[in-house]
Amino acid sequence: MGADAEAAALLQGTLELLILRTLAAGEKHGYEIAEWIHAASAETLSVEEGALYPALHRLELRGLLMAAWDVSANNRRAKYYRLTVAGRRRLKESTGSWRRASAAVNRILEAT
Amino acid sequence: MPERLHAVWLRLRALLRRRQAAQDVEDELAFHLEMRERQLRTSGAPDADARARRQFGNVTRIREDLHEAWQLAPRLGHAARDVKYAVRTLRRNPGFATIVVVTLGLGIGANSAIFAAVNAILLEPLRYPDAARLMRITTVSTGPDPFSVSPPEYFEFTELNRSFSSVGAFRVGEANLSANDRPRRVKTAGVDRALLETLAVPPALGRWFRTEDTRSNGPATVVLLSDAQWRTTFGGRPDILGQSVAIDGVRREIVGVMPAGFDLMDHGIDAWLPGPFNPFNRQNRGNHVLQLVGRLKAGTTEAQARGELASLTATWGARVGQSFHVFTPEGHRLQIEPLHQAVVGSAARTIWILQAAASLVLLVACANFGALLLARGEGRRHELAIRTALGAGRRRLLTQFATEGLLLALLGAALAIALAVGGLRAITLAFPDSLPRAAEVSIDARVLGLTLLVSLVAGIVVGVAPLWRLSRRDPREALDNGARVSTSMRHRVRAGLITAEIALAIVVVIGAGLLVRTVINLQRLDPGFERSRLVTFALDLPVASYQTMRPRVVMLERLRQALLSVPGVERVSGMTGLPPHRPYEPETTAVANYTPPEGGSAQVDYRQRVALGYFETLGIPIVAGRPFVETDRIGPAVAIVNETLARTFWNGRNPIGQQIKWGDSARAPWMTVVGVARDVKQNGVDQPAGTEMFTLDDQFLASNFAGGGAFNLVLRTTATAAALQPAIQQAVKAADPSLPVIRLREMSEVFDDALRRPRLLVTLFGGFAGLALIIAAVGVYAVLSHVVSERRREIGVRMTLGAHQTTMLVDVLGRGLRMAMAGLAIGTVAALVLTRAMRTLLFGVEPADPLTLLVVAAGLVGVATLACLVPALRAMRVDPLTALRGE
Repeated sequence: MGADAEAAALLQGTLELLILRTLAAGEKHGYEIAEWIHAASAETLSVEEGALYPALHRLELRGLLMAAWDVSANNRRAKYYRLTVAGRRRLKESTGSWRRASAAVNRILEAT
Repeated sequence: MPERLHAVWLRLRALLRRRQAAQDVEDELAFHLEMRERQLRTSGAPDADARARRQFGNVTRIREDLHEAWQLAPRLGHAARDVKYAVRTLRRNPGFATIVVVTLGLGIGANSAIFAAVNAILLEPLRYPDAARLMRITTVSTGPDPFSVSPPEYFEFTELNRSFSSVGAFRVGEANLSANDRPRRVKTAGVDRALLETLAVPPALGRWFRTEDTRSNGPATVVLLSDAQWRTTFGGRPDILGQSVAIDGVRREIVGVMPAGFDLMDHGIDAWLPGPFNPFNRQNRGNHVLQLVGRLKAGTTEAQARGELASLTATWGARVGQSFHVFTPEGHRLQIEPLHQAVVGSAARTIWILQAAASLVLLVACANFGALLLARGEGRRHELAIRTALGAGRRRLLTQFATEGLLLALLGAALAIALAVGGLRAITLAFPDSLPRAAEVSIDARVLGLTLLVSLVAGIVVGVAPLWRLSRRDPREALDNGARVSTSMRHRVRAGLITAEIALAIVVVIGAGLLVRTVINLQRLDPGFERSRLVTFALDLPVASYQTMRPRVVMLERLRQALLSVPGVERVSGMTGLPPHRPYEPETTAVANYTPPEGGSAQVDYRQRVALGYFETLGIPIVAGRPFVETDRIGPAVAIVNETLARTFWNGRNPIGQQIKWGDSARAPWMTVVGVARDVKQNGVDQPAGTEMFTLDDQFLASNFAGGGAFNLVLRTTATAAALQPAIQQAVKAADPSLPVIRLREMSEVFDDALRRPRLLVTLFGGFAGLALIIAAVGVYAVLSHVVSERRREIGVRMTLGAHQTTMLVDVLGRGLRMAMAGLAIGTVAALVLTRAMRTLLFGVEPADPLTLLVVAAGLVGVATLACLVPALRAMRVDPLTALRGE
């Protein structure tokens, strides 16, 4: 549980980056995004799922995502998100800076 | 930025389909929960429903987060809720809200009205282009008052100076203006072309005077009308130019109309005539009749102009080639002051003092507001504690209080503006001519802005500050009903506010008391003659029909006889200048047996040409010699002087038999002094009398004086002016049917005119004092009432233990009176310091006037006792049983 909590805390700051990355593969609704992050992180990252939605809505308001209501695979009404051009650009920038930062942190951690 | 705009656009869209947006949020969250639940159930977990929710987190909080994210202005939502809450709270307590709004409204309203005057009269520049460069130029001698400039002096100054781009001259008078045979009395200004150029305001219609219009030789044939005169007399007809109008019987062509609001030195000029010279005064160095206005060259400062003037004055005689009656640094010389200052004059101090008084009233209202809020806040500890316990943050509570304070203050501001508008209208109606530029005073944007600012500051500072401490208190402590901790601290702050309120009110009340005494003193002042039972009116003899003195003397004597035969009239006389409003016009005069100081000359401050019976009619005692008698009308030239003149020129010697001239011309005949009259206040009852000489108008029969001009008649009578009017009209008509009777009134009214400014001041200041006192009394009453209801239990206990009812009464009374006494003491000390600023506005009373202080102290004790009595009586009637059972 301790390791999970740490991971979750770390996740908060980078939740937006993860959402952008998740949607790079194509449009998804909220539940799919949660599942995708969970699966893609090899089941390490499982966030309090509700926190996803304020983040999604903020990104939508900032114009990085576009949302549209559509019918889901099981024939239900669902809100689908996809990246806008600005969102794609932001994903590229954020990925770059995340890589640089994490590489730096890694170097420090392994520098003994 | 585009990101922001995008968000605003999305939020706006969401706002338009509010219900749909809310449903979308619900659907989205429900969909997620449902999917998770189904997944959990498929994997065989028990309680799939609950686990799905747990995994999701706090649904309610997230829902609120989402709603807030979509709100267009999230804080606005809070604000709306706060306002709604504040309105509800205030409506639950309408008495409190009413008292606060009314007291604040009165305090702020008084300020707004006075600030409107400060703004329009003192701060706004005069309505001329680049008005800061306009200077008034006057002469000054050894006396205290400035006076006018003679034509030769004016011409020389225009020639010599390098500081002014132009200097113009004018002379104010009155005339009978008739168009369509309806004569009316109008204010006139004789002005030269240079004056119009100096003021630099083009006419709204037509043209200015040309230089040749203002030449003194040749008949004046043109006139410029004021906008008001054009509208009232001519109905604003567009074809006014080229029309003609008779002024004092002479027809003149209307060549222009000046724009609305154009005036000169606040005289309210109706008609502008070419002038202001005549063939007699052009060469006369001693004839001080012109008022000058100059426009400083761009870039020249007032100080530079003053420096140039000083160096010109040092060598004036040599520069103009004159040795007699020229400017000298120590004697008679020119001086300049900004025209704005000259227009406003002594009114500036009056207005600032009123502003100070209004500010004090506002402070009283604010202290009262604070004390009431504090008292009420104490009562709301319960509510506060519950809301804190329910999770309201300290900041939210403070915002809530600020909203309440602001709401009260804004309501106060709305009332204030209504009061200021109404108040200003009432003041201008009651005191139309008491202040300069009064017509320009209005509630403009600047006044509105200040009103709003003052109320916002009052609302935030006073509304929140006392509650800061409260909201910090531990909620449990407040909830614990038995906890009566730190009451002494609370009471000290509250009592301090009330004491401060009383102290401030006392300062205003003492100021008002001093002004009341001033007005009483001015009214009682001895003008030097018997002013009751006197009726006066004026005639303006047109030069056209009175070119020489003969028709004048004949007509006036016929009129005097006719008036004497009117029933109820005891005596009749006349004079050129009516006290106590004569202008100070010192004239260089030849005085035998008198050697003026080096470089100086004998100056007579006031000169009067009077009719027979002048001293008897006015009741001026002759202290030596005799008054004018019938035989003087055709006898040798005689004069009567006042005590000041006799003392100034012939100190110690017998004035009777001395010789004096009318002016200083070599050709003028010597007149023998036959009597000395008691000093009469000619120029304001609070001014020194000055040197004065009287001659009999009839004696100038053979002189080359023009017969035209104003002449005042005065009747000693038992009847009122109104009752005498028909007879007077009849008599004047018989003497000269062309003459209108002007300003027929009783002498006491003439004196009231002199008291207009002090009356305005005392009315407003007194009003402010009353206001301050009432607000303070309300404060004492409200706080004591609160104390009594707060201490009901304690009072109940004490009464059960045998305390007498009167003990309770005395206890509460004492509490209130202690605050009042402390306020009285502090206020009196502060007043002793502050009222010194009023010294120049006072007359015959010192700032530390014991009588005023005593009366104010007694009055305060009375008011405070009344304010304390009601709550004290309530304390006395507390029923111990109910009080103890209560809560």
